[in-house]
Amino acid sequence: MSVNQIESPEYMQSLVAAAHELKTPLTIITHLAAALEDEALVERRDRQVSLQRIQLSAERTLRLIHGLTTTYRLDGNQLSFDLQPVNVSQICEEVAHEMVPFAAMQDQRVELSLGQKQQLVVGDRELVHSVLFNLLDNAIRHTPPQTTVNIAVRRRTDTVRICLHDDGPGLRPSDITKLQHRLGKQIQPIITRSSGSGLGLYIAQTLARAMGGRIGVGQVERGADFHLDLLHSRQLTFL
Amino acid sequence: MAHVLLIEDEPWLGELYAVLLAREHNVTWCRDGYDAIEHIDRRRPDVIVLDIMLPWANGIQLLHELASYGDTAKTPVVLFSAAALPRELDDDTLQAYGVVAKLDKTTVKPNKVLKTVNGIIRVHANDSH
Repeated sequence: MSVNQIESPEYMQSLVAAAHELKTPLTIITHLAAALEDEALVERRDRQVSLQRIQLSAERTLRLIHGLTTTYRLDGNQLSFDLQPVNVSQICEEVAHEMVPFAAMQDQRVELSLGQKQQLVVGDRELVHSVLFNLLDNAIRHTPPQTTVNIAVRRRTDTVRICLHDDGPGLRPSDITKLQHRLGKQIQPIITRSSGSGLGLYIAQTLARAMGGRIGVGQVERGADFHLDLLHSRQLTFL
Repeated sequence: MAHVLLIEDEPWLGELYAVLLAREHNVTWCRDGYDAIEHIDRRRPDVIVLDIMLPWANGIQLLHELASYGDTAKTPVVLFSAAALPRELDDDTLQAYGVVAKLDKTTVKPNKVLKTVNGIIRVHANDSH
């Protein structure tokens, strides 16, 4: 990254927005920890739940920081990676497994619809994992309790589409237009967006593009739909 | 018991403060601005604890909306946010919107939130007698 880029208003705006996004899980940690300190505030039976939430929030913070540093390293051509056949069905299972405790803590479910055949895509294993983690994190955080996020993997002609579909209230058409326009651009300044800065989607789109893929968003009959398209790999790989 | 309307979209913080405030008050917890407006239409709260970063209608839009209600504009509001406020929302403007306290979510302790709400309720109870 050049000095000019660092000094640009867009860069500063992104930095402020990213810092704000990181405030959310850190704020949760500090409030839950402060409440735990005061025995009169938190009932004994709730202490374990609070501790789990602190741990999950800390893990989420670290993942966001990792994703952010990866995108900036990509921007500055400081990150090298090899595009090779990777088993995206397997990565979906891993990400879903990692996020189940986070979803359960919010009374939400994560379901997988992977089909019989394991799908291979052209990508970097760690980057694909990071993209899917950010998409699932986004889906869970913006969907109310008692909803389900379904992850489906579908082969298309030359690509594989990984769809994350929730059965929440969905997105307004104006939000979809805004998201479609904005995906992969600078992270939004904090006060113009209603909730969060879109850091996770920004990270996901940047990493997807680096692998020749793209993120899309749309409305389904019930709920919202975010998807990742990656090139299908016809090669065999060591799974 | 006083009626406190908590407007907080982050579920784990909302749950924490709904439980803490409910020890001394009747609490309604709304997760977005639209729900909050619907609730205020049905029942006017004694105090509103308001996050700024909310989905659908954010906290600033909600303050504008409340100001247009006339009598609801007199409901004391505690701003409870980690977001920087826009420059035009200076203290005089906030006061006109009924904001009586600003709590920085990044530094405030849960006890302080309770004390602030309790203090406002005491003051308003005395004023109404």
